[in-house]
Amino acid sequence: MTRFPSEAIPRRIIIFAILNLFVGLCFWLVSLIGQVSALQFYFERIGPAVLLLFGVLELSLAVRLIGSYHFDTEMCWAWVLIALSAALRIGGILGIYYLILSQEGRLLAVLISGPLQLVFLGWALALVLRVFARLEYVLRVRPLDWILLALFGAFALWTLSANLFRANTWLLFSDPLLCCVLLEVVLLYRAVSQMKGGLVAACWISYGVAVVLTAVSTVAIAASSYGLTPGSLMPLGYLVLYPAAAAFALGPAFQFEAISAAKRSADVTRSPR
Amino acid sequence: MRTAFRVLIGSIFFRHPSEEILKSYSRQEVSGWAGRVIREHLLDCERCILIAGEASEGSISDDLLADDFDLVRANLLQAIASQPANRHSIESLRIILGERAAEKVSYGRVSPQMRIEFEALLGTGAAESLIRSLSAG
Repeated sequence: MTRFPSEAIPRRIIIFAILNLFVGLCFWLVSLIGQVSALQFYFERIGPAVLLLFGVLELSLAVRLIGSYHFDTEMCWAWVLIALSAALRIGGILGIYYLILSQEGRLLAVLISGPLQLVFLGWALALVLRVFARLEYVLRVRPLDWILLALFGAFALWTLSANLFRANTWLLFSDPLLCCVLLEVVLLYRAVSQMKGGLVAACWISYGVAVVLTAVSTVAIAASSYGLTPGSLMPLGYLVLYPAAAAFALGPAFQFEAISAAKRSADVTRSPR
Repeated sequence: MRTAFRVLIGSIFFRHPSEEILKSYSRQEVSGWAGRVIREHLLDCERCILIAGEASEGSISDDLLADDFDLVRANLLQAIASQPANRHSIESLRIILGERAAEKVSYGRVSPQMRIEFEALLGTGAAESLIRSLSAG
């Protein structure tokens, strides 16, 4: 059985994400006993910095990965699009948390870190799916996947209909787009499962985890907003975004480690035994 | 003859080859593809030196190999993959591309299809390094 890949960069990301989640949960627990400002401090100061860090990490690794492929290959363009998606997410974080923007400016920041970055991510994942299909991996959705997709699809339709005449038109596409990307990561997960482990599979599974966590966060926040769950649980919906951001950074980190390990393998074989 | 050849090939790769069966076929010549594989690849494999040496004097026709081509190929190259020199590369492959790729390479050399897969998933440079390390054994 293949051991779980735990190379240097991914391991550090996972440890940091766990620590950050622990800190976030501590702040949330403190807020439950009346210290709401503590949670506010976390979400306004620590949280954005962590999101930015993960975003920059994803971007820098994705940019390095672009050079590993010939520019005319789909995988190269997939990483270009992933890098663009990460850049847009960074732009959104900067716009929302760090730059002093007008209402319209903040809305634009939400737009580029939401639906727009999902368009690029979805495009990238479509290219990756095409590569796996060409390599004769079976792209099939299982019954359990259909349930997940149907649930989130129903949620997306519900939010779309509920906000059709209220919210910003472009932001309305966020949940339906997320639903499409969810379908892609499910297909991708089923494809890479056939690899039976390995760093490359871990890369695309990370993107799957990231998208699923983003969907979970979206549903949790909406449920609290509409009063379906207690308001005190709403911060948990936002906290889920941090492991999601870590998973987005883990994707290129695993791919980077895979390529490094492949290059190292030739050196090890060459070295005298 | 086909059964006999299966026994011969099987006995090469099992820990306790039947001496009697080996002796009965040792005077026949191993020709064609299997012979080449044995001569080119198995001579470094300690367990196979004796077998290859004896079998090289015998005679097994290519016609016989035709039906068993995949079986023979799989068994022979699995043995190559289990050689000490190559074990590290197979383990690297398993970590990088998973059990599926390791199985496919264990049962044969890096096929053109697998080469395409390596290049598509890892890029040309990394794929070349990996293939070089796999064939270095």
